[in-house]
Amino acid sequence: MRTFGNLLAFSPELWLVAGAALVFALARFTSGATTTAAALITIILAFLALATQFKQTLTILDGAFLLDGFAIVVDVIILGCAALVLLAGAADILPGETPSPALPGFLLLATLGAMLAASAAEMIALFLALELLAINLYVMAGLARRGPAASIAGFGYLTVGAASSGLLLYGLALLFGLTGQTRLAAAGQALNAVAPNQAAVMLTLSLLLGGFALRMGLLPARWWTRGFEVGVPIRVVMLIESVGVVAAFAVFGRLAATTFSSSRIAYPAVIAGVAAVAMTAGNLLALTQTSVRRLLAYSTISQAGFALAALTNPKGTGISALLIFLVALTLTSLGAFAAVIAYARSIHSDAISDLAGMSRWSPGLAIALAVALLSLAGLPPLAGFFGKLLVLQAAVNGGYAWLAVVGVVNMLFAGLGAVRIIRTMFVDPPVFEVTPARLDRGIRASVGLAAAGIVFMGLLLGPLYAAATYGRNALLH
Amino acid sequence: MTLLEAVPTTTAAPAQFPTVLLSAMVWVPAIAAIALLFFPARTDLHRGRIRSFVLATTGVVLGLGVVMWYGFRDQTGTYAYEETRGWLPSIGSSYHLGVDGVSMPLLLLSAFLFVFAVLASTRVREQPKEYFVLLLILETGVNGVFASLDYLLFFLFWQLQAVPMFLLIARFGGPRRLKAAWKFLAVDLAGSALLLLAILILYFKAPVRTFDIVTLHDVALPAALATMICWLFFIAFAVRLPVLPFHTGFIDAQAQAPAPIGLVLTGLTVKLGGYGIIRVNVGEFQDAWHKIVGAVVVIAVVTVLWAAIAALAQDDLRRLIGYIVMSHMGLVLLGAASAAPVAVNGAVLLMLADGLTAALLVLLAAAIIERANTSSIAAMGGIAGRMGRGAALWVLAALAAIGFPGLAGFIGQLLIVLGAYPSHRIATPLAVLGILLVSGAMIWAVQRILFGPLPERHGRIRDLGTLELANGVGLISLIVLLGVLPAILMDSINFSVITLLSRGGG
Repeated sequence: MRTFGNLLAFSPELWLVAGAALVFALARFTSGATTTAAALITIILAFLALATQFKQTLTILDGAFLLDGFAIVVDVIILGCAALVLLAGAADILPGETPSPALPGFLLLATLGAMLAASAAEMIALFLALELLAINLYVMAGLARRGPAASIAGFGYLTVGAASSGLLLYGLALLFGLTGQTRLAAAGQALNAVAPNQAAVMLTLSLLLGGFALRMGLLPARWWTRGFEVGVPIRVVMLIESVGVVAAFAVFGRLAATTFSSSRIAYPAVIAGVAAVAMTAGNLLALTQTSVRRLLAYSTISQAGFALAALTNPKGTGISALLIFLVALTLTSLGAFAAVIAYARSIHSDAISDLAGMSRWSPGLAIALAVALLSLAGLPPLAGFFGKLLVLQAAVNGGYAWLAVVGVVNMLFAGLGAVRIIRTMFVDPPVFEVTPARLDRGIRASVGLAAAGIVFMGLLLGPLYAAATYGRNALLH
Repeated sequence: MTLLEAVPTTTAAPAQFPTVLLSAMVWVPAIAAIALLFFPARTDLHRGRIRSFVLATTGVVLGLGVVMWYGFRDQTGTYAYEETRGWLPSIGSSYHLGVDGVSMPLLLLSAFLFVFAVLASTRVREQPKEYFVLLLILETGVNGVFASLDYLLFFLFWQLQAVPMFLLIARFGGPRRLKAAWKFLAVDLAGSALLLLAILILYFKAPVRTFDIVTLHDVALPAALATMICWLFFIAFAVRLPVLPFHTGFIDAQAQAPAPIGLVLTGLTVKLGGYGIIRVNVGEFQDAWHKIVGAVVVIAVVTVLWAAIAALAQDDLRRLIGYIVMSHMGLVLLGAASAAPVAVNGAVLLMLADGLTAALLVLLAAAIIERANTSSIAAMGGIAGRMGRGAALWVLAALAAIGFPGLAGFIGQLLIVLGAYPSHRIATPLAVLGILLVSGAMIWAVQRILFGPLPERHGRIRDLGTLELANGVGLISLIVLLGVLPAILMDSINFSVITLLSRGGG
């Protein structure tokens, strides 16, 4: 009985399971609007269930899952992202496309996987949770019903994802082999006590980093950089870029803070090197793009580099900086993607040059996209700036001042890149006549919410930072 | 040296006004900008309503500024209207606002100039909503820099100006606006990056983790580090000022920006550079500042002379004004570099005077360029015969710009020269030569524009309209007021400059 006594602590996750089951049942005889609404209500119920667990620390299933402050903070971010994706994603429909009404169910299951991964404290549970997330993403990518190109893109994602799962599994197996422990905290203590071969520990870390690279958004994944009307739908990309990235960084943050921080390898140096390369390369790639979608795709590499930079200092303020940065990043990228979905309804094109004169045919959308792009670049006083500022502060405190200089230079160039697009939207005359399409309430709400969040996050930074510090303290005891 | 050195003693008890006035001066424009987003802009009536709303907003800010000034005159502490709220306690940044005798007059200048900028924005027919939203955000940025007593806040407001300024120039400017806007933005962002770098180095190297300007003043840093930070701050501010190698972005932007934006650019944006140098370099890093002052004086004098010579050779009227402002900002830099109370007083006063005269010059130049349909001075001539009022205002503005006694610029330039001469006996005469060259350029330009034969095609030129005339007269009255009665500002400026300089610090 003791084993399952705490199962009620899973109540947010159980709501998601029940909601997904309901959505799959409803999907047989209702439309996408109904299932989307059901999924949204489920997310709200899951959030309320989570709210009853605030400020607690619960060990579930003999320590396989640890619902601590860190997991709760991450869960809140994940649920918020899922709700925004759901709101905006319903509008990502191409002319003639009828998306499966079961899609919100897979979204709920992916969210479930991400939440489980955030609280997983043991390797097997961790891997299973990540796979639950990944498999649902593969399904959503494959369910595009947009012709063969979309299926190929979905299959490409499956292949890269499987390879990265393999690397992750090798890394976890090696960690188990070195320490004889499957629990992350115990493995960390064993790494310190047993002091195994340092090269092997470094290899473990590299394998894990490699396994997480795709999920964190560190890889220039080719599968979504094809043309606009082909490839993975944005509603899936949004989910990968928000829920998936948050889960990956939460798990890697937990690994860095509880397992590797007590080892003797110079792992922050490795992370700093990867971070510097990623933020610079991602930026250079993004600056040369001619489509907003690709620009966003490549800029995620740079953002992942910034998020990694926070982990150079996991014992100090790195974890709280990471959490704040993830809030800013998801708000920003979801806002940008939602704006892309919204304007794509009107112009059916992806080229930056076709955005010319957008401020005339859709001023509100132009402002929202401009705000999101500037925040993505890290220009103050928007959300992205505060996230990056805290990350750079953590890096400098951890002794990586050069990384902060790289970051500031990157912010400068990214700012110029963002202004280039904003010039097209606000200054250039329109290249063709555009009749703005009518947008439904969901996409309008998500664009507006994200833009308001980006602009006003600076004001709420005090309470946000308190929450992030609470999460960090829970992780580091 | 005894001219203004005595600390004025105040007898009257200072009037107490709530500190929220200062916050209101900063945030009212931003709130109005957000409100403006929801205004319809389809018909002429709507557009007129938008204009009236924005005018009322800047008017409210001006009213707040005047009330603040009234309560400020008898200020006794270092900062007045000081407001501190917890904002980011975890990283040591707080919402800390406050003004002293250096920032308060400049804040008042900003409030005045934005009213004139809105009044002068009658030519914006297309998309006035977008234009005014950006203008109001710009006002929040400018006022915020003057009011901030926290480095992070200071940087946020500083950076807030870049994108609106870019869009205002690129969207509403002259024929070569895009190139000018890009150049301005690139130079400005590079300056901002240096500013951020300076602030971050200061933050991380100081023993207390805080962004608070007042707290950091009392922190002792190693001399070499302080010198490096001082250099970084100086370069970041000098880019805005602008000094010699960085001026082309400003000159191009000034030539291409729409007139009201040119007014803000020359009247306020460049003054922020001068303000930053006085507030941070002179006020906070005085010991380090004394070490780098040799180089700074050279830069200042070269800027004054180069700008004066460029003004003599300049044929484009708007660019000419840009060079004259640049030359004056070089003088401001010389005054700040000498760190003598008299000269720093002069620098603040010259910034105020130059803000007003530059605004007047830009507006008049835009009026003439619009009528003559050319910005080339050589192609103008004899306009005085057709534009009686315009010519009178133009002559007055030119006299104010060259520092004619009785007008505002004179006292500022005089104080800088008097204050800087004892410590810089070669540089100051060279700067005086620059003042003379600027005067020559200005008088020569007046002669070529206003007098001489009237070219055939200028036959149907109109005189200034009522609104243009009212703008001009308003600005000229302020210039005369400041020239005849500098004491209304001088006491407070002097009090704060002495406080600033006598606190020492490094």
